[in-house]
Amino acid sequence: MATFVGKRLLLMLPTLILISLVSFVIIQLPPGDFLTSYITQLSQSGEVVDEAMIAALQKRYGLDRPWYAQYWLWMSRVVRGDFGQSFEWEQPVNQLIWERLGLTVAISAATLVFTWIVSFTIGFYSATHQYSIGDYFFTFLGFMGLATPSFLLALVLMWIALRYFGLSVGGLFSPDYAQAPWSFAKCVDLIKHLAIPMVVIGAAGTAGSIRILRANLLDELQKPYVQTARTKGVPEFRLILKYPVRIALIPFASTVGWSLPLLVSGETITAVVLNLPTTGPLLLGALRSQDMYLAGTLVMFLSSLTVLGTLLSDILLAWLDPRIRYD
Amino acid sequence: MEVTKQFKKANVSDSSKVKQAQEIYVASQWQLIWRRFRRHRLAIAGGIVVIIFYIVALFAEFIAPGVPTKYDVKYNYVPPTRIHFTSEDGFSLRPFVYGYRREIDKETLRRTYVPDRTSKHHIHFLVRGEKYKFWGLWEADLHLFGIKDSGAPFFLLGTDRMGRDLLTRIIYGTRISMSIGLVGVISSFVLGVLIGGLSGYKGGIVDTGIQRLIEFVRSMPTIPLWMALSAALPPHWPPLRVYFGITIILSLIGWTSLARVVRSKFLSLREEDFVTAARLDGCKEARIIVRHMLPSFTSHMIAAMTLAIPDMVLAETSLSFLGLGLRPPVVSWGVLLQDAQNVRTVAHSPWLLFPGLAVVLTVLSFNFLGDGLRDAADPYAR
Amino acid sequence: MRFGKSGLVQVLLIGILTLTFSSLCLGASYYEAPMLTEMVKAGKLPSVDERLPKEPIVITPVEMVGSYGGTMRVVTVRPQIMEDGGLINNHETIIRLGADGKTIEANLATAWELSEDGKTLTLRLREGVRWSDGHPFDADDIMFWYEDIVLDDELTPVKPRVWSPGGYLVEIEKLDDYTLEFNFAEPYPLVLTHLMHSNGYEGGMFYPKHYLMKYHYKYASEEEIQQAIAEGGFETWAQMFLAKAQINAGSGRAVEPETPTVKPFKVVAKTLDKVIYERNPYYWKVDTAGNQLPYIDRLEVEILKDQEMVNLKIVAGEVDFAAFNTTLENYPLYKENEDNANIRVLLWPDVFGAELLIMLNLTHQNPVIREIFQDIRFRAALSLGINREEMNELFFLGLAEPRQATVVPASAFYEEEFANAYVEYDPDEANRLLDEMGLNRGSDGVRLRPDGKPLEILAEYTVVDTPRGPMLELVAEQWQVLGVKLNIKEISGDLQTTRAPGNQMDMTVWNADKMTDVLFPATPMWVVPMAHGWENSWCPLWAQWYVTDGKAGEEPPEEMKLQLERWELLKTSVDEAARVEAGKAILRSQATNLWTIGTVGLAPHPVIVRKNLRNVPDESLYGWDTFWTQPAYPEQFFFD
Repeated sequence: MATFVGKRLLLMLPTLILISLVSFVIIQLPPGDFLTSYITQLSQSGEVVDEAMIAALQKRYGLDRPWYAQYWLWMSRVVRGDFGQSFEWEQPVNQLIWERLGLTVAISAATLVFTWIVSFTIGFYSATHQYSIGDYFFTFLGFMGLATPSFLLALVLMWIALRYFGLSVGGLFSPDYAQAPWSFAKCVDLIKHLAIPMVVIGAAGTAGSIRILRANLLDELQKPYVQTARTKGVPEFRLILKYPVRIALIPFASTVGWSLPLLVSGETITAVVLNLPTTGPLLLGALRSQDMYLAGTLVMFLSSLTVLGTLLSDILLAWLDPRIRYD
Repeated sequence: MEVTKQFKKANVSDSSKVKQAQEIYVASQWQLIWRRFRRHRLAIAGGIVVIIFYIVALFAEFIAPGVPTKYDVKYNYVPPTRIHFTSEDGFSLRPFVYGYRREIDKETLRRTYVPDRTSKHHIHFLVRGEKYKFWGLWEADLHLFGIKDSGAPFFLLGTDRMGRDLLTRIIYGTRISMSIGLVGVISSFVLGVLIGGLSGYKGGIVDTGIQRLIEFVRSMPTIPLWMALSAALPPHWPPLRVYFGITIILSLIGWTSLARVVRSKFLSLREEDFVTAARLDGCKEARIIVRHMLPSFTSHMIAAMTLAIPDMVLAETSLSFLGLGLRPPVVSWGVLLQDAQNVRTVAHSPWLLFPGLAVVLTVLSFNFLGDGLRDAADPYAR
Repeated sequence: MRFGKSGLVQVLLIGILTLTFSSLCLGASYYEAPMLTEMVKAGKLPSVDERLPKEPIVITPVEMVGSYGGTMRVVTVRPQIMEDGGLINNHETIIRLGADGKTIEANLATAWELSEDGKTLTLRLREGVRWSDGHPFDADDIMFWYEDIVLDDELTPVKPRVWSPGGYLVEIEKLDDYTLEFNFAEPYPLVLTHLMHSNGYEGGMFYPKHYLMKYHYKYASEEEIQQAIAEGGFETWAQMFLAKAQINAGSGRAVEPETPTVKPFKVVAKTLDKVIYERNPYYWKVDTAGNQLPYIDRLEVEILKDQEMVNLKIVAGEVDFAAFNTTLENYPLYKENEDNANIRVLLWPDVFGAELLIMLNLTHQNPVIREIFQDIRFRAALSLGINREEMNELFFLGLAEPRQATVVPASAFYEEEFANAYVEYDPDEANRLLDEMGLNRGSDGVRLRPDGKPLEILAEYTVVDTPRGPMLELVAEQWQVLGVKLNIKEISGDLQTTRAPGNQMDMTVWNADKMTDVLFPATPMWVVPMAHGWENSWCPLWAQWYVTDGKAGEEPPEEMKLQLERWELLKTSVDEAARVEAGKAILRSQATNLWTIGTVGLAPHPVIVRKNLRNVPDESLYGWDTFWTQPAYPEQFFFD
């Protein structure tokens, strides 16, 4: 086991370096740089940006070097744990990401739990009641979430919440509580505001999990040991819970690791529409304004989490299922 | 399980059931798949919807009551028209619609429309209306249905901000949105089968390398990838080429999941007796793959592909939302939805969200169809 | 916290108390906000009379003398320019524009005098104005900009064109602590425009010297500079200094809290979601009753991620003021929610000469296309082929005016015939003109170019507030009648910045601002090839030729050179009549030649105001030319 983990960790290194390079290149691919996008913004407000100013801005952001030089400079700082400055926010990148991370993880974790509860219930039900009306109904419901474009659902739900429930729009807190210290009332306020993002983001995820659980459980239910247990008169509910569900959950558990980056990136588009204070909109904004150090760090961070998540999944799987070999 | 159950029952009594069971024994693989598939009612429904949508996509010009670019300043933001059968004159078997009277609210300047009972237009099948070029080849003006007075308003799903008929635009959008899924899946299928097959069949270092590649592509967050790739499309490209460009982008990201399915199938099949037998028989590798291995999981592949299409359809709408995908004047569901993604629409003209319904319907149908196909793909299992 | 009626009484009481108190002790008569009185009592702040200049600016409130207090909540989707935040905490310029949007008023300067030959400007600054940290604002703050930023070749490798009339950089001399003399190589009456607009503000031509000295190598020690570089994570000295000085066209971007300012509000906290401002205790303006402005205590700018969120917040009643992101198309939505959201919706006249300005590339790379585009008959036909009434109805609720691209009616250079040139919808005449040019129709109805190819034009555009895409779709449909095929394509701002000046476009669109007497004489970019910018793509090569003094680009034809000469006259003449004549000549040339094609303009702009926010004028000229809200005096807005 130890050698297996060690080997995989070693293999991760070149992948991570490659990821950092590719992240950087990807961010450099669109035409222009932070300067052009900044000038665009200024011109949108009417200002005429002349050559003198462009020259000054180029100096200020150090954008007059080729990309590989910029990459090298960046990497030599990254190694020291300094991810550079965000052009747009004029703050160190580390600080920006930390500022966002807490609430992001909170929202995503809540969503994940919501998804699992819903999909486990539906998956269990529809596997034990295959082709019944209930199976059709719940599967349909689960899939509705997958099928509805999230940005649309988010906007419509927000409008309904505002019009018919008088809830303040977007964000995670009402204006009254945004600046207030933590209290019971603030928590209630947060939970109220969490409902929409949880439904919108969670809805998209349930269908996949329902499908996996249902299929795995169906497979297990055909196995001879279940038949045997049944003929021996083990109560049906206990029979299913005792072994098949456990085994059916193995591949399910293996996707836990994959949720790791999801915890951080969330559903970027939904977060943008719902105005959530998470890393998703930060990433999108950074990509749009070509704020390269911020965008690069976020992309690298997310990709590394995926790689790490895969590793975790593999370890978890190996640990859960002794049949898997470590080579 | 169903098969064995039937078989068991058949053994017990009924001779007709014995006959049925015997049919099962002699049935071909595809017949068996069909048998199992039929039991999945949601899948059947999904299949029918998918077929209808593709027919609509194929004959969009004929089925749409108008042409998508026709605008009318007098009728912007018209709500969906009700189809009537009864009026003061009594019941009429031929449905009809009323014209509109436009009212401007002096205070808010909002334009609203009330049915104008004095103008009545009957709906006919096969009417002559707006001119169009069928498949861009033949000029025609025949529409499946419509009203005879071509100047009068006929907006079953209402109109958009420029007074264009939404139903017509959704129908034209079907063509782009449905084909983007199909073309995208086919190209990612080709990539997936080639790369996944290579990985699964060769194994060893090739496999490890390809696995790393897949892991790598999958570990990149999608949005920056989309942004980078769509920025790589040359700006002077005409809309049609952009459309193919975007399809390729979607498939460049989407091939990995198909590749994984193919690889795992190859891995398990490689060890099967019939492959060993073929190899011992002296078959060439290519022949083993094409003649022996591929056919044994075609059904799985079809199911996997069907399940990949809705992702593409959804991705197209997301791309449009981000401003990276197709842009007007191209008409796709994503483009139409982007137009509807604002408070004004939700509050004043919610009918502009109808393209969303088309997306939901399509994605649902493909998913159910795909699920049914997958369940049926392996008739010998269970 | 906002004051109700009892609060008002309280404020009045406090006012009366302070009045008696201060008149007893000091004999002066200025009042301040309760929150500042507390600080004065605690000894953290000098008294209001010490904080105010000897002669503070007295502002006559729009409705009434206001009361102190309240928090103004606004939103922005582009924190780089702060949008509505900047509209409330507006720029303070050396001299400023009055409420009519025309007259020049004193601001940071009390007197300005241009010599008879137009080459020397004497500027007298207001004595006793202080930065928000209490340090005096004086001539040194302008000299710091001139000597330590502009003249420093590392910080300013390219010298600013607006300060180099005739190609020679201005010479500035400090006569005393409050008096400066500017010497130009050429007569430069336009300098007044620059003093009152985008060069005459904080971060433009004056900087807090006492604060920035710590970061400038000329004044600070090597260790101090190295430390500042390391702390901020910068790479070079110039980067560090430029970031500290916030040299970014003086956009409304929020500075670090410790940076001093002369604006009504100063930043106190900055996060990713919100920027919080508080009143500047040293603000140097008072109302007619002697109350120090601003009335409002705090300004909170929430940073949103999506444009639509702004509209949601407006109808939810969660903003107190909104203008930057509102659109006329949404007017019915706002208006219907006036009572729900507790807001008023005002319509302010805007100053756009054209909401959609069509620019054909007259210096197109392809000689065939270029010849067609340069033919006035072609441009006239395209203009006549636009049904402006339809555009007005669909996108501006019928409230805009069909007009050619020219200055606004209030301008001294305006003539009615300029606005009416080729604006009627006349497809027959348009088709006749195109036929006359010999552009015959092909089999599919699209006209053919002389080289036999179909006459297709690709319009590339960037999305900004006005619905440019749908408007272009409409134009494309209308031009179809003329047999001209218009393809449209949305591109990113980044692409626009490279393709337009790179002479790679057929056509693009923008909105024609800078059409008032404030900015037109300085930047007539839509009709004179004077700016090689990226929103200005009707003549990239000619503009390049002008900007590079003939080193690059292409020599423009005679009429274009005449335009440049007329502009030179407009810029440099000190004879007002001659200037007006020159301006009119430029616009007459535009009206006869349609260098760029206007559509509809002067659409009113919806401004959202909370019901109890008072002193907001019902009408005020809105646009970049007037810094959007400068003529409305946002510093005297207050919550009732």
